[in-house]
Amino acid sequence: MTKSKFKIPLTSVKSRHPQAKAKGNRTLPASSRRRQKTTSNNQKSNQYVLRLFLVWGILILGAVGLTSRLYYLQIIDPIIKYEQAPDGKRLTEIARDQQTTKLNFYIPRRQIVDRQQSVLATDRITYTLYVHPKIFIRNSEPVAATEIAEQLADILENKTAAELVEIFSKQDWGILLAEDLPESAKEKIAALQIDGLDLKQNYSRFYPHKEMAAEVTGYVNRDSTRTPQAGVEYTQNQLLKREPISWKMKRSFSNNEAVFHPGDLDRSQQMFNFDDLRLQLTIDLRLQQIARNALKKQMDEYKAKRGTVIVMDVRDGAIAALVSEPTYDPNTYYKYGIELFKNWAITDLYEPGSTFKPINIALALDAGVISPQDTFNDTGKIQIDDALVRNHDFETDGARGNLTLTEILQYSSNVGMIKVMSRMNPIDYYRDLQELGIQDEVEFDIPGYTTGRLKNEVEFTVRAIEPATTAFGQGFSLTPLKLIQIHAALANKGKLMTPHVVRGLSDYQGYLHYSLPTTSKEIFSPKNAHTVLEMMEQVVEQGSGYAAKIPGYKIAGKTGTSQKAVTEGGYDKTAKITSFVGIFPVEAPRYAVLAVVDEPHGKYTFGSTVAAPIVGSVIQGIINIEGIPPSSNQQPGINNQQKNIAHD
Amino acid sequence: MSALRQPSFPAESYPPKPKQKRKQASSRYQKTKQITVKSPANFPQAKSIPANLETLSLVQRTSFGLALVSMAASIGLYMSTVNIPQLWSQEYRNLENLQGQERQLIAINESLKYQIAQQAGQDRNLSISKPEEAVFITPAQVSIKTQPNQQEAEAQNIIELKYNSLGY
Repeated sequence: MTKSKFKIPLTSVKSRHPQAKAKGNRTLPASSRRRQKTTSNNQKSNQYVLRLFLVWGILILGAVGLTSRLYYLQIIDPIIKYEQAPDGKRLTEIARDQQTTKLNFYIPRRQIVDRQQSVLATDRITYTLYVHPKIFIRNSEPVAATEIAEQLADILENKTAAELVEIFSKQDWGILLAEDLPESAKEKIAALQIDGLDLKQNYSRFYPHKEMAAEVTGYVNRDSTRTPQAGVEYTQNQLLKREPISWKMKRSFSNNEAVFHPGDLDRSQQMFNFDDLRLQLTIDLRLQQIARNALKKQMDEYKAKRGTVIVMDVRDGAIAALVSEPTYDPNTYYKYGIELFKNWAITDLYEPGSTFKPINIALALDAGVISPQDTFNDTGKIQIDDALVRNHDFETDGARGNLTLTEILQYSSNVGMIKVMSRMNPIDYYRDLQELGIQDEVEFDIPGYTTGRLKNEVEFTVRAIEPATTAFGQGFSLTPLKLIQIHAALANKGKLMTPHVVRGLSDYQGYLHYSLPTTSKEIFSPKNAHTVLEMMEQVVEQGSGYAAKIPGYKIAGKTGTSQKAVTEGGYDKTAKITSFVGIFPVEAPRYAVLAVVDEPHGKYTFGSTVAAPIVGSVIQGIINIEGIPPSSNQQPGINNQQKNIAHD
Repeated sequence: MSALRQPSFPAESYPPKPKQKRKQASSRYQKTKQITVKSPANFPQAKSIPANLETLSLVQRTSFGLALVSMAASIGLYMSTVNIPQLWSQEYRNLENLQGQERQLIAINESLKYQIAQQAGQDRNLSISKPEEAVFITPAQVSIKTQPNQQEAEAQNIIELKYNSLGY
């Protein structure tokens, strides 16, 4: 029923307005006939057409007008003001800038860790704050400088609000207000949401243990170049540095949070190409600390100029502690003098004195010119050419008479040593010294190694005084590092190992992923090396090295007190350099410890009084840290365990 | 507007007279009736649809089905991937956050270690323990009975199998 109701008027309308509707209508012929009949109807329909065109025309005109206005606004004279857009930038470029962002991934310089995975150097993110008072704007509303000054004063803490206002009034743009701001301060400043506060992100190197391992780690420049300047940072730069990664990415915003669209990036672009590898050192921070404390104590007591302690694992040349005083804090390296940045234990030469005597004996034993049972007549003083050489204790003890090799070491007899070494042909002796590598370059992980100096071959062989002074460790020079390397060879069955402080690249679990192979060279026969070690044991047990003695442990050692050579030639009468080298445990040597104290002042300044106690404390520390049990003959019950530990 | 609404036919003819209307209707009906009466004879019998038509309809139906399935799949795909940028950004923020925390943890932890070491060094009441104060315990002798060889052999087998299953 409803259908028919609607149908009737519709058909009639259709029939009376054919021109507005489709021509294919069946009623067309009838209605056209009717139009011809009624002229009034015709006029009316013309009006409709006119109106229709009018409306259509207005609409079209409107559309054209709007389009042209849009064209004008968008292309000819864009009134969109985008302040950050520099002049001459096209709208598409501005739009692209807004829609894309650069993601800087956190790719820090690798950390440096010690043997126990304690972090010695790590990267921090710090911020530099630039202030542009001209655009102090929050949510497009200008903000008063005083208000910002108050808020910043709370965050920065080192300046008052009044000071800040004064700074702001001086310059409109680019005031460098603060450097090295921590991440927490960055969050607070960002929360203020002020346009004129610009934070620039930097990486900075942080050494949490300050001066404790500074002479090993070195430091990195504070500027943006981050050039490594000393220590492992310098030599291992290839392993430590990593190139920063950043990608341009589409970005949109949702709920005030940035949404990144990583889908546009290629698969080949490795975004998170980072690993957890860290540069691991052979240094043990605890041992380093024990060594430094012991050294500092003695240096303070004797008002010494400088000192060094080196602990070396004799089996592979790994340095477990390397301390040289005075040192610096790498976090604030710029406050220290440039002379502190070199590690003098590696860069400076000194005459080793009596600590070289055991090495000479080993050379003589290897050459077959002496046997361990031989005795030598110590006359207390000896005339060589035009020089008179005396024992250090000649004034008090005079001539000691016949001495065994062990006793020569115990009393540190110069005359005895001269007599021992005189049995060697000077040219053979010279060749053997060269064989020790004193004049050779040592590839060490800390820069600046200086090769030792021997007299030239002709001088050494022609002048009798040269082999004689070399016999008791004077007349040539080497670095403390080279000295301990040769002593470690004595302990390591005659094999000379390359010293190193870098263990390799290890992950967070401590597994090594990259390390350099160790090299060795035999410089003493194993049998003679052990014989000398047993002689050195008596130095600690009954001789000058008593201060390094630890009950229950077999420790080999040798003191040294040498005169300092001056640049003009000859020796300084007052300045001395005292040293002590210790090796333990003698039955299965693991560690060689060298302490050198330069220019101690006071009445009794000898290797035995100044340096030996340092070595004693360090060895005690090693025993505590490693849990090394006493030697077998003192406590026979723990023989097996000792062997296990010594060989693991 | 009102002008358009004015009926353009004579007012008296609206509403149309029922008689005329009925007449017209009936005449129309008659016409159609005639046609329908005549047509059955000419109408093709729906006995069988031509084979090509049948295949066409089959194609139409399957393509319709395919269209539906692909629409559903594309909507599903879209729904499953539309959130990826958001999730990625969230995870990226999370990563940055964790890295920041790691940095701070390491810095604080190591600084604490340093401070403790410094304080321990200054404290005169503390001293380095002496080796003679330490107790060294020899490891217990492991008897051979507790380690039967068979077990070891089994363990070895397991390891071998593990590697065999890797396929190289």
